[in-house]
Parts: sequence; structure tokens; C-alpha cells
Amino acid sequence: MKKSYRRRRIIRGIALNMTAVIIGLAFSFPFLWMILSSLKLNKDVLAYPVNFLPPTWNWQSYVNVFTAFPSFNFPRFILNSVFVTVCAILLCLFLSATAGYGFSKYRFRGNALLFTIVLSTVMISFEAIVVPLFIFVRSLGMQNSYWGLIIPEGLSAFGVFMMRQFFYALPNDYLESARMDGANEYLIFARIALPMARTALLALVIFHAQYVWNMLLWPMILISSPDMRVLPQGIALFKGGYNTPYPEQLAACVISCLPLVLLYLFFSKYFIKGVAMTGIKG
Amino acid sequence: MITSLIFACAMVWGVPKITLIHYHWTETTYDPIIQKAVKAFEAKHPNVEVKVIFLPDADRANVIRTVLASKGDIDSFALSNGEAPEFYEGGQMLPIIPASFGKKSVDDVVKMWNPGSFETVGAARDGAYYGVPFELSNFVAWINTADMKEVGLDPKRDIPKTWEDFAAVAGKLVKKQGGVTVRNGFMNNSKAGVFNVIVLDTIMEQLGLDWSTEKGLLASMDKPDVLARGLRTYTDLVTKSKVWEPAFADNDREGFGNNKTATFMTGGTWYWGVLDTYSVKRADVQPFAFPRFKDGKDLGGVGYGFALFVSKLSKHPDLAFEFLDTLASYPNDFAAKGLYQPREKLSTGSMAIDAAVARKSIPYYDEVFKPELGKTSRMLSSTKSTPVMDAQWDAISRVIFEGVSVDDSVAKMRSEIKAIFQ
Amino acid sequence: MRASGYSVTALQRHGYVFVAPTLILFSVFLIYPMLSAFDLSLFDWNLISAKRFVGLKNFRLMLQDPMVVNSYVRTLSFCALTVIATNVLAFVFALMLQSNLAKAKNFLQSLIFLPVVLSLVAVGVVWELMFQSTGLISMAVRSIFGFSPAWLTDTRAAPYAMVIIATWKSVGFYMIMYIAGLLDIPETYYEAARIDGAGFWRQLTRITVPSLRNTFVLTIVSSIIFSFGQFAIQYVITKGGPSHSTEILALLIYRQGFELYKFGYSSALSVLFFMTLLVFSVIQLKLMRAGE
Repeated sequence: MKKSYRRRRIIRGIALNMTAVIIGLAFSFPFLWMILSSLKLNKDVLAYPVNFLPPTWNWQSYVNVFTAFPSFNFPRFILNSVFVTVCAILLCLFLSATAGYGFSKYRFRGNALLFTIVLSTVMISFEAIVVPLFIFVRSLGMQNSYWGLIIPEGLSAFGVFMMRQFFYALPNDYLESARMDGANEYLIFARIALPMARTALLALVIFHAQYVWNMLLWPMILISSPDMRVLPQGIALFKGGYNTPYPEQLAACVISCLPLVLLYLFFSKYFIKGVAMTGIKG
Repeated sequence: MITSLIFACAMVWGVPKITLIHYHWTETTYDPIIQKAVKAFEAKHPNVEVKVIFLPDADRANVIRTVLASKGDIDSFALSNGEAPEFYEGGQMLPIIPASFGKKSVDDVVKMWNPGSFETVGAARDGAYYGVPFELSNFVAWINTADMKEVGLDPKRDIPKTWEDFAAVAGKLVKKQGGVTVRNGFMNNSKAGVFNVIVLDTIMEQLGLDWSTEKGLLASMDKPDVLARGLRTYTDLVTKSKVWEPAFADNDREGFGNNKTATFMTGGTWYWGVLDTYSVKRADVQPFAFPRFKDGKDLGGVGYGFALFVSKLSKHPDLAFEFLDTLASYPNDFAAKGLYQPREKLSTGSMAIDAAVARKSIPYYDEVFKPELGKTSRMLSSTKSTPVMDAQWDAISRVIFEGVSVDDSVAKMRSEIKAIFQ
Repeated sequence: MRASGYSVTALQRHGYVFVAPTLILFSVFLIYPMLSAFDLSLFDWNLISAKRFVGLKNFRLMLQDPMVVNSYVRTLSFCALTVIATNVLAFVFALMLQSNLAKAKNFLQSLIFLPVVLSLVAVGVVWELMFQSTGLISMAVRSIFGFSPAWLTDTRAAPYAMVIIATWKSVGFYMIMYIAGLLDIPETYYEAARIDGAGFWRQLTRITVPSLRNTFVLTIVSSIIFSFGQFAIQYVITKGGPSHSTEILALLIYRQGFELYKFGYSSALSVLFFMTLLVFSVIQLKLMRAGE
């Protein structure tokens, strides 16, 4: 390599990496500010001149979140959120994988039409169906119940779409040979197709997890008993009519963001690979 | 001993446990008092369990509405006087049961509260009484005396009495750094319209219009000059005298507490209770009466309130009313946190609110709050109050956010409000 | 050799079994409420009084309501700007982070993806503060251009503030999709191009962009659908203000239902919402088929 070419490469490399770092910082800045503000005193959060670092460090806010508010049972909220999210994700994976497999691997009458109907549910604004859905769920006796939360939140047309894409791109060879060996369709799905979809499913997990975990409108309408509340409801409770204890609210926000952030950081490698394997390549 | 054992067994297995469900708004300073009331009630009625559902204030009415619509489990709920009319229209509340208060007639119950409070807080309708008054507040103006001294004003003499004075004083209190406002002379909430309409309502009523009834409101639409004068008085604070820069801060109460503004007008006695969480010191804060017009009516800020109602879906209305009575029996606890409850006597006969406690925890109660309470303006009481408030806030917004002229904005508001009542 | 008793059609019918759970649950919990909502659009109802049949009145009102027209236009422009900004930036970031010169790829990708998993309620406060006249963004813009728009209180600037936040929130997601697409382009193509003397731009336009055609289609279509239904940002930060300048359709649907208690009218608006996306999907399908 010529020396000037090497030098140009190094300069370009530095420029690229510096820009990337600045962009990364810009994108994560609100999150950093949120964390730092949760450690400020209430009067410092909104104070002017705006301060980035806490003038006085307030570690008490995190303690207060768990102890100072008798009607806010945060450990319970976290538990509820975890339970609902895990179940909703499992339901979503089950539905997306089975429907995606069914739509892509089988030619049956109405395949295209039924798939279009499923896909058309993304054209529904959730705010519009909240009331009819609530009245219906209540008629089933599922109001104020975990199932009332889990089932509607486990439905994802995007998930069905993604898994259909993936299974479409999956070669039929393995399936055909298993068929010839006499295995029934469901075993083939469970033992062969599903394990191959591991990474794509993981991508779906991350995508659906943040949707369910941060959902506020539906739980707010459905859940009336305090010990069944989920985290977003808990956080919204901090906004009093006359006063909002910001450090505690932000502390609760930080705590609620952590599981998803950790989930993503842990699985980020698989996430990208999973997205790639759904055959969005071209 | 055996009888007590049998009794205990009966308590646990035999006697059915009744559950009362009450919907209330959450406020970190008041929630513990409510918990206290719940415990006291459960101690008196061991076979009853009370569940208070705390909701963010903004969502409370919506959730109550949804629960009522789906015939869910609800025994009682809290509503403001502005929210109550629609629920009355839907026949959702039960009239007061005097026996639950240990009284023989409804009048005996009403007598336990300040005269007129039932009507102001929305607990009465067409002469019948439904709710238990829980809060009665009135808005007054507040000013930061430290800021006044900083710009050479004297808190003893220079507190404005008229709207003209107010604009001038607020103008002196504006602070800028490098061309950017760093302290407003006055500000109000730039996201939530209701707080702006509250002040506008007072201005209009001071100018002789009746914005508290549907008839009065419609009649006022035929007086565009007065409407324009009232709107201009408010919007000039942004566009002409420029004492209010909306882009600097959006929340009036937090803004005043953090000294982002030297004055604000949407605080009641309860503001003392939240002041300690902010950076401004109590000693630097002074409430004062709403400015008046030289040629206008002598009316102060809006009076409003909250009442507790029993739902028609309740299976134990008598117990529910008893619980509401208990909830409303701690006026001194609430007064200590600045929340004024207009109760004179408890059902047991003893004195309710202790004037000394009120005076100690509510500074300037006798000088400012009490006199203004006798002259409050009123917000619209109607099933259409939300669309009307939207139209009124839109009128203000058009002028301060879009730069539309006051006269054009008034014209639009008139046609919108007339259309609402068609 | 197939095991006896298996016919081709019987095999394909297993498809029904696989899609059945999804179809049943979607029909019951999504499609049925949606049809209920459409039915509700023919009534006036505020939840606590009785329903009142009004036929097509809501639709007539809707087409003449300046607030609906405003909302629809705002939604279309928000959608267009966000889709363009998000996809352009996502593509650029993907190229940057996939470049051979980039270090700490995983870490930087995670930082850019972070906003996707954050709840807007949590970071809403931060964004509001940054857009205020003394906030970070206003100060930065002022130091560069000498003045700064009043982001959240000027009706001309607020829609752009929404686009900025929406872009921040979703760029990471689409960037991942582009990276996945880029990973699949064989390195050999680029090597061959370099031997032929093609520079950066040639490689980009001749190899990268054409290979990512399907990816582009997917990201643009899904970003249009998601940003059309965007609700949280406007709800948390501006509540549709100032003066309805950020009142996008999903927010109007919510307000008409939950603040003005006109559930019939709100349902009529949701029909409009649905029809728009339906028309868009049909157009997009036709375009895709034409391109093949």
C-alpha cells in the first residue's frame, strides 16, 4: 500500500470513528441525563441554569422509590411487568412461529387472503379499539386479570410477518426428508424447523419485549387493582396533580429501562443475525 | 374462652367479607392521610375491606367512566365540580343517605359543612345532595418577594392591584441573560389549557360576563368587544408587554417553585404543602388577591372543589357513604398539608376544622385566602365544559402561539362556542 | 417413498392447523373490536349515557371538520419527514458502522439502538427540557445560527421537534435492518469492483443500493405504517399543541374518545385511519408487483 493511501485511510478512519462516537453519545445523551437527574434533588432537576451533574448527590431517591410511598408497591409492579412481558412474549413467539410456518410452508385455500387479514391488523390504531376491546374482555370476565393483559399484548402481526419471511427462505430439504421418514408435521415443526429459527425468534423477542414492557394505555384501562399494576402505570402515578417528585419518578424510569437495556446488550449479536436470517437481504 | 374462639372462627370463616372499592386521585402528600382513614374505617368494621384505587389525576375521570360503562366493581369515586355534570347527566350517583352519617335528615348532614360548599364543589344538583365535599380551593395570585426586592420593588407597597399595574410590575421582574429570558415576570402552563382558561374565566367575569352557566356563556358571545378586551388583557402578557415567554418553561406551579417565574396565578392553599419540595423559600413567597379592573367587578380567582360520590352500581351504598364520611373526617390532617376541607362539624359532633391549625399551616389564610373565598369566580358547569374549554384555550393559543390578532381569535371562538351548543 | 395414507392435499391442510391459533386470537381480540369500533362510528356515545344511532352523521361532520383536516395533513407531513429522515440516517449509520475502518461496532450500534427500548414517558422530560428556550438544543442552535426557534411553543417549529424525536427513537431499529442487509452482500462483489477501479460512490450506487432493494422496501413500508400510527411522542411531549400543530391522527382519535368522550366520532376517525393505510397498502402492493 502506498504511504499516502495509508495516511488517507488513517485520517478517514479517525474521522469516521470520531463521528460515530459523537453520534453514539448524542443518541444516548437523554438516557444519561435521565440517570443523572434521578440522583438529583427535586429542586435541582428543573432548576435554571440547567445542570448536568447533580450539585448534590441524592442516592435517597432510589430508596424512596421502594419505601417512601405506601401505595406504590414497586417490587410488585416489577414482578407484574416481568410476568406479563414474559408470557406475552412466549405467546407472541408461539403464534408467530406457528402461523409463519403455516402460511409459508403450506399451500391451502385462502392462504393469501388469511395472511392479508392478519397483516391488516397493523392498520388498526390501538387507541381506537381500546374501549370495544375492554367491554368485550370484561364480558369474558377477564378484566383486571393477567390474561386480559397477556393475550391482547401477545398479538403481533409484525411477528407473523417476520417468521413467515424466515420460514419462506428456509430450504425444504430437511423437512422433506423427515416427511419421507414418516414423521408427522407437528414433530417436524417442533424438532426441525423451530430450532433452526432460534436466532430469528430471538430478534422477535427483543422487538416485542419493548412493545409490551412499555405499554401504558391498555393496562391503565384494564387493571384497576393496585397490586396488579405494571411498571408504566406505576411511573405515571408519580405525576400528582399538584406536585411531581421528579427524582423518584426518574429513578423508577431508570429501573424500568434497565431490564430491556440489559436484554438488548446481552443479545445484540444474535439480534442482528436474527434479523438477517429472516431473509430481508434481497 | 371457647366463645371467643368460636367468635374468632366465625369472623374468619362465617362472616362474609365485604369489599368497598373507591377511586381517588394520587398526591404523594395526601395519600398517607387517606390510608389512615381507611385503617380507621376497617378497624370500626372488621368485616369490611376497603380498596382505594389511586389514579393519576389526569386519568382518574377516564378510568371511572370506563369502569361505570362496563358495569365494573365500583362503590365510590372522587370528582371535581367541573367533571360532575356529565356524570349527573348519566345518573351515576346516589343521593346522600343520612343514616350513614348518623343523622335523620339530609339537611342535618349538609349543616356539617360550610354553607354553600356543597354547591361550589359540585356535590349538589337541582336542590338534591349527592356528594361529600372533600376539597374547596380557590386560586389566588402569588409573587416572589425576594425577586421584588432584587429589582427595587417593595413587597409592602408594590404588589399590583389592577391588571395594568400587574403588567408593569411583572415587566420589571423579567430577567434576561444574553437576550434570552431566564425568569418570567408571569407565566402559566403552556401545555395544559385548563390553567389558562381558569385565569381567562376570572378576567371575563370581572368584566361582567357570566361564564359559569351555559346561558350566560352564550349571551356573552354577543359582546365581542368585551370578549376582546378580556382576551387582550391576558394575551398581551405574552405578545405586548412580553412578561411571559412560553418557550422558557411550560409548568406554572413548578416554574414558580423553581423561580423560573416571579408570579403565577394557579395556586391554592395547597401550594404551601408542595412548596417545600422546590428551591424557592417559603419566606420569599407571598400570595395576593387576583388583580382587578378599575372599572370591573370585585371578583377573585376561580373557586373549585372535589366531592366524593357513591356509585349507583354499589352493592353497599350505606356502608359506602359511611366510608366517605370517614374519609372526610380528617380536615386538620389535610389542612396541615395545605388542603382546605370546608367541614365544620364531624358526624360525632365534634369540631372539624380547627381554625388555629389552618392558620398555622396556611399562611395568609385570613389576609388573602378567606376574603377571596367569599368572592370567587366560577368555572362553567355543563356537560359540554370540555369542548368549551378547548375553544377558549384555542382562542388564547391562536394569539400567543400563532400570532393571530385578538379580534380574529375572538371571532373564531364565538363561532366555535355557538356551534357547540347547537 | 411417502408413508401410506398421505395425500398431497391432506398435507397442505395441516397449514390450517398451524395458522388456526393466530387466526382465532387475532379475530377475537383485534378484528372483532375493530369491527365494533367501526359499528360504533354510526352512534353517538359518551360511555355513561345510552348509545344513540346517528347513521353517517359522524362521517359527514368529519369531512367538514377543520380540525380533522388539520390533523390529517399534519400526520401525512410528520410521516413523510420522519420516514425520510429515519431511513436516510439509518442507512448512513449502517454504512458507517459496517465500514472496515469502524471500531467498537457492537458498542456503537447498541448506543444508537438504545432509544428504541427506552420508554418515552421516561425520556419525555429530558426532551422537553432540551427543547426549551434555555435547553441544550436551543442553546446549540443559537450558538450556530444566532437564533433558535421556540421549538415547543411555535406552531411552525413544533412539528419538526416531533420529527427529531421520532427519528432519534427509531433510527436504531432500521439501522439494524440495513446492517443485516449489508452483511449479506458478498464481499467478492466489492473486491471485483475495486479491481475495476470503482470508487466509493460507484460501489455504493452500483452494488450496495441495488442489493438492498428488498430491505429498502421493507423498511420504508414499515416505517410509514409505524409513523402513521405514532401516538406516544405527541401525547407525552406536546399533547397535540401548540394550537393543534402536532395533533396527529392517532392523538385526535384518543382525544375525541378519552377527553371529549365522543366515542362515536372517535371511531369514525379510526375508520379514516384504517382506510388510509388500506389504500396505501394497495398502492404499495401494486408498485411492488409492477417492479417485478
